[in-house]
Amino acid sequence: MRYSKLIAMLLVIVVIIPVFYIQSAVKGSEYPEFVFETESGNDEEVKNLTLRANYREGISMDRTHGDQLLIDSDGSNYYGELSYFERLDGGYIDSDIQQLQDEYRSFMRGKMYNPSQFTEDEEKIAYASENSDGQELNIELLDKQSEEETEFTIRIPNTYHRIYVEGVQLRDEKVFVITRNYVYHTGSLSSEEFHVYEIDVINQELNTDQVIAGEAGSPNREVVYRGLVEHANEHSDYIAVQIDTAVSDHNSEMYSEEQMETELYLYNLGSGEGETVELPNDLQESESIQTAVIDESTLYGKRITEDGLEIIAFSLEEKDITNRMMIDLPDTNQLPLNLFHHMEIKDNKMYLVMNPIPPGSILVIDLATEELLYQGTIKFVNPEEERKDYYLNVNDVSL
Amino acid sequence: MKHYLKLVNFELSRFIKIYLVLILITIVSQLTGTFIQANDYLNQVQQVLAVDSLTPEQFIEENGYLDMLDITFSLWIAGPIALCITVLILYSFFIWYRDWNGKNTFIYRLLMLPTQRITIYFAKVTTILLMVLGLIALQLLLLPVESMMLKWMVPLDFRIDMTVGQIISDTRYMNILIPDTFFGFIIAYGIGFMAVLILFTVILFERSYRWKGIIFGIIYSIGAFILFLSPFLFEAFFQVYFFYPIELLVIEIILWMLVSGISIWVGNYLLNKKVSV
Repeated sequence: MRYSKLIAMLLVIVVIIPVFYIQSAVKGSEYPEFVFETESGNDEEVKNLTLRANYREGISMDRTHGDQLLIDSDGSNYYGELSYFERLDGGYIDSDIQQLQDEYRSFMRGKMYNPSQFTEDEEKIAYASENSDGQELNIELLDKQSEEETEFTIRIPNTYHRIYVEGVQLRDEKVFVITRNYVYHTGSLSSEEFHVYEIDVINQELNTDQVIAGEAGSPNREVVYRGLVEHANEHSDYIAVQIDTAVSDHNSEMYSEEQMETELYLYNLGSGEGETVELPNDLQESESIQTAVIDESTLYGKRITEDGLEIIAFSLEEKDITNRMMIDLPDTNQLPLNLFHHMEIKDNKMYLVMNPIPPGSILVIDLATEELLYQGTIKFVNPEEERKDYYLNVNDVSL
Repeated sequence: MKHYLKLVNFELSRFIKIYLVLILITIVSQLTGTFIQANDYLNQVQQVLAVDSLTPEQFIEENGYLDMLDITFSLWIAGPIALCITVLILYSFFIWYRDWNGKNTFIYRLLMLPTQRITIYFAKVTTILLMVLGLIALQLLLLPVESMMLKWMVPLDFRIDMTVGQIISDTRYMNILIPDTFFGFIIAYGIGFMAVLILFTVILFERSYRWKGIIFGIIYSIGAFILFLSPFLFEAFFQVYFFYPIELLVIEIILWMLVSGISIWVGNYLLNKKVSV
């Protein structure tokens, strides 16, 4: 046959390659399915809940790097199942950012996908970013009604090597930018400062530059960790920075739990006043605050006791615990020792997702009535019995 | 059209011997490698279980499961792929230069054929493309075979099974050669195709103008890449992210058509007017 080679090659290529892609797509995927399983309460409560998670088979040493997925009340959807076009962004985008991009495409063009750098109220959207390696802040505003965009730069007093924008807030005609600033010293030590920059939008200038959560502790205690406490929404006037200190021990690198102390530096955006607040013993565990959320003027932290999971409401006005809720969980002593669980608060309801999973738990609590509205788990619908060790890590929770 | 097919068939025939050797090397190396690695793992298991008296679970905790990624990340698999890529790149040059070899230059007869000269150009591009895709198809056939070898050899307790799709996605170098989606595949090989067109145009510059031609060729290829990469260069120069991903895709498709079209047009011009025998 004259064209035998050509035909043979064409056959092989045209059969094998498309077949591979077709069966990849059509197979309905070998990915395991995860669903919300209700144990008690009203499953309407999780109707709008979406979890972004990472699934991995095997143990941590294995190279399978994990698959991204979204889990909601309809089931699970894997990133790998999306079409080429849906994957152009290179990963799941935070849902708030996605929404902003859809509604304000031109303003959002070219901006970093970091929700901490954005804030929104009924009239405006504000965005803050760092310029010139720590010398300037770039502020961009969009008037939602008139679609007018404003952009200006603020020169930052003092020099820093790096500035990270950790939060942006709008109040009247002011933009507050909360940053974490670093100065690198020789010998790889660096000093870190939290700043609140109050910026006048109308005159486009810097009103005040406040250092918050500066040196804390006493001469023989050093600061081990500083972190901004998360907000449930944009309405709170309180900025809280968690500060962990430990007894300076130059002999060892590890800090024991007894030595560590956690306190808060509280800054009020309205009054411009800041103070250090000591936390009660029950909130002394670092992870209690690292996973805490501020809603209006209350900070909600959690801790694990013998009786279950305790949610502690700490009033930032009164600087005291105002409420406690004990949630009875079936396998409390099986709960992972750390408290890295996700907490979201919306419309006075608290949504808790326990992590890592297994075991998985989702709780919805009505903060007003203290009622447990929903309790469920993330169930692994196992298509094959041969499935082995796996774990599911929830990275984000959105409503 | 008939001339085109004849030429393609002809070009394939010229290269078939080397091609079959590449295929053979790939098959032997990959299958042998799979066998050896699985065997090594099993030996390790046996040894550790006997000598250190660990239970299977303990062994897994310390050493992990065996999966296809342990195989694909080895030289037994990657080596032949690298070899094939190198040979094909070299042949992209040689597919032209061999026609000028020797005294009774073959190119003379080739150019005298009663066909548009550009047909020769297209036939050579097609050949390279077919050979690349053929090797991809080969890999797609080998992976399930290797997977099955693993299943036969290693007990379930010690292994994790992956689909071919997962193996490819998780192996970085394979994922570049075999993208996750069909559309991604078209894009990747579309770019490769364009690169070959640019290369051919450079070769034709050299064959037309000799030393000056090399300079022209280099300038041409730099220009082509700048044009094709212009949105990215724009963003890099102004230090901004300006385009949304979907916009970049559309722009790049247009630029792809432009650069490919220009390369073919210039190649055609050189082939008809300037190539010297």
